[in-house]
Amino acid sequence: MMDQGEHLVEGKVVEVFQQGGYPCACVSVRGVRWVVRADLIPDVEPGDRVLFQGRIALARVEEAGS
Amino acid sequence: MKFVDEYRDPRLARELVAYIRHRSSRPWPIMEICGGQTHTLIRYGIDRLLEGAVTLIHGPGCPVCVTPLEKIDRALAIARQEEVIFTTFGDMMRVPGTGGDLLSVKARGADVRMVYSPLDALDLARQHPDREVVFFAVGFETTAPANAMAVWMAKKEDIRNFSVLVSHVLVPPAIEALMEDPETEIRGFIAPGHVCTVMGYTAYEELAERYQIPFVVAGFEPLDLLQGLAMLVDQLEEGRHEVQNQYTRSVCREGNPHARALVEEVFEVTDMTWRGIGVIPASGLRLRASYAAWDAEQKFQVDAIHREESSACIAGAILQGKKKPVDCPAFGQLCTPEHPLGAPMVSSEGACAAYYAFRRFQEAGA
Repeated sequence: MMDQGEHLVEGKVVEVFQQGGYPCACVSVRGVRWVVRADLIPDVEPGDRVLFQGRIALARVEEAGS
Repeated sequence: MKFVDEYRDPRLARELVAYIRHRSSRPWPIMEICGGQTHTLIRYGIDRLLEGAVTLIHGPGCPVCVTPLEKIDRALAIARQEEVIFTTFGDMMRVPGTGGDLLSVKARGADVRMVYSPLDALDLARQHPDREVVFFAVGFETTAPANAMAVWMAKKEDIRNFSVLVSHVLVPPAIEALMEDPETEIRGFIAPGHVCTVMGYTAYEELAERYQIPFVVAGFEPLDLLQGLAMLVDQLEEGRHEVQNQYTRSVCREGNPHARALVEEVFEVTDMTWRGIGVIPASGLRLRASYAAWDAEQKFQVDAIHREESSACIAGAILQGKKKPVDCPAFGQLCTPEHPLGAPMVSSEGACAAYYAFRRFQEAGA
């Protein structure tokens, strides 16, 4: 995945916190945890699924049928 | 696997294929814009399953492929400078410029590094205040927020040894250019789902009305695309030209307003050269004047570099959907992933790479 930074990746938010004065989220992708910036989804919460690109969360993913 | 398996269910896929074949009265020419969608269609053989019902035309939605040759040469010129750490996504490393690619420049001693995010490049600038760190900011609307954020943070934190080489393109003006071509055969569009997560799809509503052509915003899994194609065929058979959203789990009509505001803060719309296509008015992004200090083209004075495209690669015709990779005499022979003539054979979203990876080179008799 490291050579495809332009791709969007989907994962589940496990933690939301502040780092260096910026809002961040820890996102689990198939068991691998990524720290991403959460500025652009300010109301993101643990348990949400998100799409991120280049360590920036861009969109919340709603469960199918919800 | 949750969130994957349900979009690859073979029983549902067969039902959707049967529905489209039953519903379609002719082989509707439909373009999928995004290179990621092209890869799914070729990988799962969806184009072959729908032969006679839908003719899939591959669009220009591979950001690496449409980055113009002169921009690659500007990247090479910057990367060769001794004080520079040049950073890029992996896809750009092997895209050929006039005198090689970033990987070959790296092999000759330049400090070229693959990063996962522009924020990683910004971290490098913090760690190496004595070096100039440049990030190659390439992509469609999807990558613009991350690149905008890196530049916005550099300004906020006054990090002056960081800059970006911008080659950002926009989807709606490209669609407009395709539809203005009097020879176009396109009758419907699969709109790019990931671009729409950021930008929404109001711009496509204007295009649908102006050109009387239907759009369906679709995702990237096989069932996403089959459902999107079924929705398009329904519209075409009923003479409708609406914008429908198949990718509701990620896309809403307005997109992400926070991301759009950040992009608007840092970038402004400009004319842009597309590799193999030429200049499309108002189809790109550049840094606003207030962010000029972080513009690598100005900092390294490489904006005078101009190049003509090679005639050996038919990328322009492929990116406009006028030809398929197997129509190229070089495909699979002179042009392979190991020895690419053009970007569509290198990029993970390139149509030529998709055809090669999924063995379509046999169709070309290679």
